[in-house]
Amino acid sequence: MSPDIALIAFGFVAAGALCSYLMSTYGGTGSRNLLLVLALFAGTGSLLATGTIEMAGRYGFSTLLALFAFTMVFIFSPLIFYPIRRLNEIIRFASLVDFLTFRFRGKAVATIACSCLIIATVPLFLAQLLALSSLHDFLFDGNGWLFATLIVATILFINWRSIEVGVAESLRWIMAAAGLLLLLALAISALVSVNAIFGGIGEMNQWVVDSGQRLIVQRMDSSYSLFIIFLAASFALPVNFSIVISETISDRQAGITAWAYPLLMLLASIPVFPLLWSGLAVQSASPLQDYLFAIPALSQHPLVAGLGAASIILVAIALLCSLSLMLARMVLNSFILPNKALHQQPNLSRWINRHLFVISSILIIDCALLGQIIKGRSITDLYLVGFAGLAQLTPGMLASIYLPRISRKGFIVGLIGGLSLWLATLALPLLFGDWSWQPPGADSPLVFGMENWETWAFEALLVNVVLSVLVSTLGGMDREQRSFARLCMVDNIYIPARVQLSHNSVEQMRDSLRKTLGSEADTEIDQVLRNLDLDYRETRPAALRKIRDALNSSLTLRFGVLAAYQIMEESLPLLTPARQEPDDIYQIESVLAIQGDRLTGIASELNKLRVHHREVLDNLPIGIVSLGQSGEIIKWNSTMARYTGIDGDAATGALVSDLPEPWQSAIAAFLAADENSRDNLPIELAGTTHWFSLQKSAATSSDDLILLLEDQTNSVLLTQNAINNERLASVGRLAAGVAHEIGNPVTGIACIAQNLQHETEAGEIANSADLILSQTDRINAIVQSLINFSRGDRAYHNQLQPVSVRDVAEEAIQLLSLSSPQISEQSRQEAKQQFICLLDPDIRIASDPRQLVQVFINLLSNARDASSDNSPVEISCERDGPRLKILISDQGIGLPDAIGDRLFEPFVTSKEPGQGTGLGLWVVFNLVKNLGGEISLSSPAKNSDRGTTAELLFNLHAD
Amino acid sequence: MLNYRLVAVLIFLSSVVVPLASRWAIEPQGSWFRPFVVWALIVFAAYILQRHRKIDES
Repeated sequence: MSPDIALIAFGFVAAGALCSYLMSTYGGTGSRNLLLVLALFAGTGSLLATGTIEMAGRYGFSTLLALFAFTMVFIFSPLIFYPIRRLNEIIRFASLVDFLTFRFRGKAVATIACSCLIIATVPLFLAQLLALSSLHDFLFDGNGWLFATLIVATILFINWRSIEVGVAESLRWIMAAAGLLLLLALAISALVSVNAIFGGIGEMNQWVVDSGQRLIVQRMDSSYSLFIIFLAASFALPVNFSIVISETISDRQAGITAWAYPLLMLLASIPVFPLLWSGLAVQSASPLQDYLFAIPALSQHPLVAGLGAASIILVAIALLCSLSLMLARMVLNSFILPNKALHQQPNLSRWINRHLFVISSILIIDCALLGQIIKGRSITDLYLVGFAGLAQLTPGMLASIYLPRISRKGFIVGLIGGLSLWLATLALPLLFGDWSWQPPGADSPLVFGMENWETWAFEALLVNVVLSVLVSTLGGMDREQRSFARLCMVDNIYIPARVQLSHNSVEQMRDSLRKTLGSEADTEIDQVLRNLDLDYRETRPAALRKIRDALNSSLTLRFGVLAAYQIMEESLPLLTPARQEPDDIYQIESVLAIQGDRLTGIASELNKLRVHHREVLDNLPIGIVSLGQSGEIIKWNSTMARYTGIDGDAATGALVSDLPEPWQSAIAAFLAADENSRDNLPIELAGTTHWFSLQKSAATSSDDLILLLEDQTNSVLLTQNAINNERLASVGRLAAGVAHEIGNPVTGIACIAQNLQHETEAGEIANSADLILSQTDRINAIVQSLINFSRGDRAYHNQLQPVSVRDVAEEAIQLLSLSSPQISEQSRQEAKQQFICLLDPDIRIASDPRQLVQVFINLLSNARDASSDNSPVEISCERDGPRLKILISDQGIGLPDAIGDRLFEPFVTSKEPGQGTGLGLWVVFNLVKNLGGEISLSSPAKNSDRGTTAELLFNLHAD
Repeated sequence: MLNYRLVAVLIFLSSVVVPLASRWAIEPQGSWFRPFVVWALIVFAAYILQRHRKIDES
């Protein structure tokens, strides 16, 4: 019994625990990096503290190759862990079993993968217990029950505390402290042992040469087997997987493991051989696996021996705690939660924690009991068998990210085949003793057990791989499997599909989630909204999809893939399966914008092209909106954002009906209309009218719709100004005629007024007053007519009203007669008579009378100017369904062919220079278009061999 | 995307460096710590590679 060493060991254990607490409380970023690597280092458990010295004695330098292989997974983590880590950012796997279940789908996968992991890690549990048992035997005499009970109680206490405060973080600190203690123990033990036994390193080197140990350790006979088994096991070791893909580990920290972890393993393996040789030199009776504390104790260094013993206690406890909790989580996620009615559980978190503790406790206690029957076994053997078992999960893991053709059936059959062989040939013989079988016809029996461990470990792995490939090749894969296989591929970027949700608001989602999750639904939704920076008012389909994805991710981390899938299917089902929906283009854009620099080769070039096209679209001076089949906005370019004041991020993913007014009405009305383009649509923005032209067209490769908006306000205002100017010019032309027209009644009034001065009879005075009134009425009519015409502020502000076409035409004729060059009354009457108005006074169209007057004045004026011989100009009309066709026909010179195609363009005229501005027909065209009508000119005139007919088409008034 | 540089390094290591390094490390007349030197060089190479690599380059 070595009470001093025991006391010192427990002192160091206490110091390690204190160190763990201090690092977790006061540690900065630097210590967090160290924490990660030390925790990974301690994840190997008692292998480095005990097993490697035994392995070094048994396999020489092959041990180094095995340990190096164990670190290779981190050196090449960009090929293995990073792809899973990237997928984990979206799906968030709780464990390796969850990842495999997600990839291969189905409860059977979860059940078998979880069972395999539990069975394969049992030897690792036993190895830790054996290391502790061996330590107990060295430190204390007598029965080890008390020690075993103390250790189990400690583990249960740590597990309970870890579950209470957060498993991952809490255990990581304990493991880091254990790793630090182990590294110190190995280095110091080797140093003091070499100094005490050889007198120095030089002397040890000489002893190594003299004793022939140099040649002994150089043997590499088992190197290949050890290399492959350690390498394969490192992929599937739960501690490695959970730490590297943990979301609390930053990408940079994960990158540090590529060199820091191999460095720590190197530092830990350097003392192994000096310790081994020290023990061999003094011919220690202790087993090789006890050298870490036995040799310093033999060299009279109880402090160092205590340190070694403490490091073994701490790493063994740390690994037992973390492994038991990880396995408990896997059992819960794979076996219990998928069958549990979660909404019936009042306090789900507490229920989960309680079950985690119970399951982990059962695992620990079972293994402690099992440990009683393996006393005297080698820790190295337990690790070799355990690693060979863990290696069975590696083919499936690698297939998940590199081989999309491996099917669920292939994975399951391969795993069962490999695991069965491993169980029969290695695991069971290790526990219950080797056995052999004489195959019929064979010369020698097959021996199952550690004697042929290399053969059986390889055979089991080979059976697994061959069966997986064979079954996958012969059998097929359903659509779901193919979809998830593609999703997990190493070069895949996860893009959520543009799925149709069955809920239209966050509140609906919450209410539905409550049915399966109870009160936990509120917590989950609140958390997700907080993370996404959204709120309960959100109704945009794209945002709701993001919320659903985030909920799925959060639930997967809490309850595992199976339970989360069930909850989502029951509470938030999709209207159509995700794989039938197109990818969310907006999400592709977002993902490529973030991860574009990962692309290489042609993908990178294509991405540059994408960025260029995106910039072109964004910077086009016209607004572009792309709409999905469901009416969801997929693209909202920066010009559109400028026009509307609605940010692209807010609009993208929303429905048109979610847009604020007036855009919602304007766009929705245009989308509902049959027409593909609309010009000069007036929209009130901040109290000012803007005019937009809209166009729409369907995308050829999808059902998406593209909407183009162009601000035509400047153009419309210019046109409006030109129309006003043209009208004012007309007013100017009319002014002389008006003055003359007013002059006649004024003269009449003056004469009557002179007569009135001498009139005394009441009857005559009244008669004169009537005459004056009639003359003033005439003046009023003329002035009012001019005023009406000169008012131009209403152009493009359409308030269509029932208008009598005949009244408007007659008013135009009246005004035109004022501008007649012949200013005598007779001439004016003749001018009026030139226009033959055949319009029905009862016919009314929906129009603006002032703009219509201007149209008539221009057209009649052109007709009159073209009719030099005073030939009649006929104004007639005919119904054309719901529209009225107005025809203005003259017998003039007709239209010259040279300008036939450009009649409605500005500054195009057939008149002599100085006779016309060339704006008349352009103004008419714009006014008619603005009034919702159409105009065309044809020459010769209808039913004639000369002249011109102007054909106007307007909507009849509904009444 | 697949990191071709890493794959190239892997092929170079397995086909050239490993055979040469292993032969040198276990030469009968060599020192016992030679394998550790090889290991240390690999760690250094991993450090250099990691320093120039962003996490997203997988």
